[in-house]
Amino acid sequence: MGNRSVRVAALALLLATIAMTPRAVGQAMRQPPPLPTTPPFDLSDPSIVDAGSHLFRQTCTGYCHGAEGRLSRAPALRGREFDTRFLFQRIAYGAPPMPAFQTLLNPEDIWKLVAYIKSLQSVKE
Amino acid sequence: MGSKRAWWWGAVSTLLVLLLLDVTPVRAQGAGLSRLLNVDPNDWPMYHRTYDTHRFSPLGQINKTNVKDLGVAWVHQPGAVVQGLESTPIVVDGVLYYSGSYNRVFALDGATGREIWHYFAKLDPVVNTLFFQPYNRGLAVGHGKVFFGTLDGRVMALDMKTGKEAWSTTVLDTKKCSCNFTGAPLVVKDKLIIGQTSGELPIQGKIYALNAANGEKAWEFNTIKNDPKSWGGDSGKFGGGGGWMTGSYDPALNLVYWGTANPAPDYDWGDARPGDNLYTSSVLALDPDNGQLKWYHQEIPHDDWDYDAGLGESLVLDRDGKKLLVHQNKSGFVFVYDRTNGKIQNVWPMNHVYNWVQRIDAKTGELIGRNPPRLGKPHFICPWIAGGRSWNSGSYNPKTGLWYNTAMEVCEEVTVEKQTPVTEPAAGLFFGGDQVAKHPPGGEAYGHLDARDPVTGERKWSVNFKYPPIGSVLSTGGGLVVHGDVEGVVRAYDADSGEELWHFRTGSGHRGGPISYAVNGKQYIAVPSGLGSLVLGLYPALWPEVADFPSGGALFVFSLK
Repeated sequence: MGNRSVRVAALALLLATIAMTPRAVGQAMRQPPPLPTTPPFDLSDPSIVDAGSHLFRQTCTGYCHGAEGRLSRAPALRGREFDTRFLFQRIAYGAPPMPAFQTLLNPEDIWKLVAYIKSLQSVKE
Repeated sequence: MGSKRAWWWGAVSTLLVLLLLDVTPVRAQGAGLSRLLNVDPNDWPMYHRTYDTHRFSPLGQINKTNVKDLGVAWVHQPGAVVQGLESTPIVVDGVLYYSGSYNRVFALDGATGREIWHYFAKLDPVVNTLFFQPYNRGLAVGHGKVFFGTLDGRVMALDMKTGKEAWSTTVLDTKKCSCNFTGAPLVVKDKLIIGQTSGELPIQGKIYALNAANGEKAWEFNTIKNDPKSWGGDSGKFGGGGGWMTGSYDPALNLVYWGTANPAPDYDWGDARPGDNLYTSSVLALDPDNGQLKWYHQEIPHDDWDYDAGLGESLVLDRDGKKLLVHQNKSGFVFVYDRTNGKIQNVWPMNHVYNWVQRIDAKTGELIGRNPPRLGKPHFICPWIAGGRSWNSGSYNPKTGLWYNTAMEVCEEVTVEKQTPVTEPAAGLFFGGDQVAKHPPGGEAYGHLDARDPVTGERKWSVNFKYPPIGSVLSTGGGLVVHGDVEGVVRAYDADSGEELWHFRTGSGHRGGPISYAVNGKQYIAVPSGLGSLVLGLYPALWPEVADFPSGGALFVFSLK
């Protein structure tokens, strides 16, 4: 490749980089923070589950999830098996129309909600 | 005086009068302000069509006789509809403007549906963390611009002709308050008035006026009164309120009437917010020029039920020489005021089933026999938190003298729970309990569309629905009432008898506002279809099948075949 070709290629690369920068920045802004991989406490601890049930009533029921995880416009959570990390991720990042709670709840509180929802797994309706 | 000179003076004085009255040629100005005061029969230039919020179109080309021949003229799909298509379109000079979820704004040829322009707001990702999102309920036009509030706390203006951004003002710190704008603004003279969401948030909700020309803030009204007698302790800091829907305006009295939302927390465990909690769950009469409070009436003092007064229309109508204002809150009771001073003229129940009070004094508005949920065992309350009616509006036909309005006969079981307000790093929901929908005692929950005298409440006809309707109502000069249900069927009724004259299945339920307009002498009826909204989230507890009702969203426009 001659010098001219190199210069053209470099210019094209530069232009492409400039063109892509705003989008790349925009995407970077939307990148979620790293997921905590393990809960900071035992998710089956009754006190944690109880704290999670309080949070669930205050934050999740009414217009969205049904009381005690029953069916509502949002899916039923009772009697269903969920992957622990999936639950944390869904609460933290949401999925429209479910809001993302990562800026409203700290990770510990999200884990408490996970503990409560996991506790509903064996509930029979 | 010579004839030439007289002609010159005549021309100058005429021009001055025209300037003062703001009756410059309308097409040159787009939606000129005179067009908002004296609405062209062909237009629908604001959220409720007219300042009196009647939602009545005088057009009569489509009438009781020929409505059976109504067919689809065109359909527009806004895309990205989440939580329902909740808006009411606007039409000026044959151009239809409307909004979908995520503040997507469209200008369409009203006769063909051809897109003239669209504007998709670039929203801050904080929107994904909010409770009140991503729906938008409508736009305003005036001063050659299209105005709307955004999900991330801004108020914006677009050029009506091009859709190009004219100005954008950040009004709310949405990242901090978790509050935003979802309702349509109201243009009053040189100002744009809009209220914020905040009823379920530990913040202080306000109503704002911006300069329509450049977006500069003109005034704000705090719906949380700074008064320790009204808000014990520091409860006022977290008092909620706000005014999230669109008010009405009386040009003769120069008063804007605006309903305010419920206090936060929604439920009181005993000492959550001691006092009457002014000015929440109230009707305010504000001077649009400076935001000064001229009168108010608190419909639900110390609201214990989330019976938000911020919703729907505030009917301005005159009867027997009296200047009246008819306003409803979520309790299902309708308050009739002398709109010059706020004195109660009557109070009547739109709902058949209620137990939150024994009654309301029709002369004073006093709540008699309150039945508040309190800490402890679950409490059975009627109507439910969605209200005797939600934020959707009825329609008043001045020819029949009837108000066509919907109601929900649904109860709930409320469990009150003490809660600490969260304001850092952002405001968290502040309900103070939760609730689950219940059937009324001895029967199934249901809804109805009624034709009523708006002043006395006398009922002329009624149509029942299995699933309580949550769409707004249109009435027309052709003697029609148009309304869509939750199952996705829009119907036209005989305004005098309630007889169904026409229906069409749009494929998804109705949450928005139908309108009527005309282009080149042809009348159209536009119906937003697209099921969703927070309220719909309450339905599956009683009707599990509603969870599977199709959402989606499209604007259907009908005309005579």
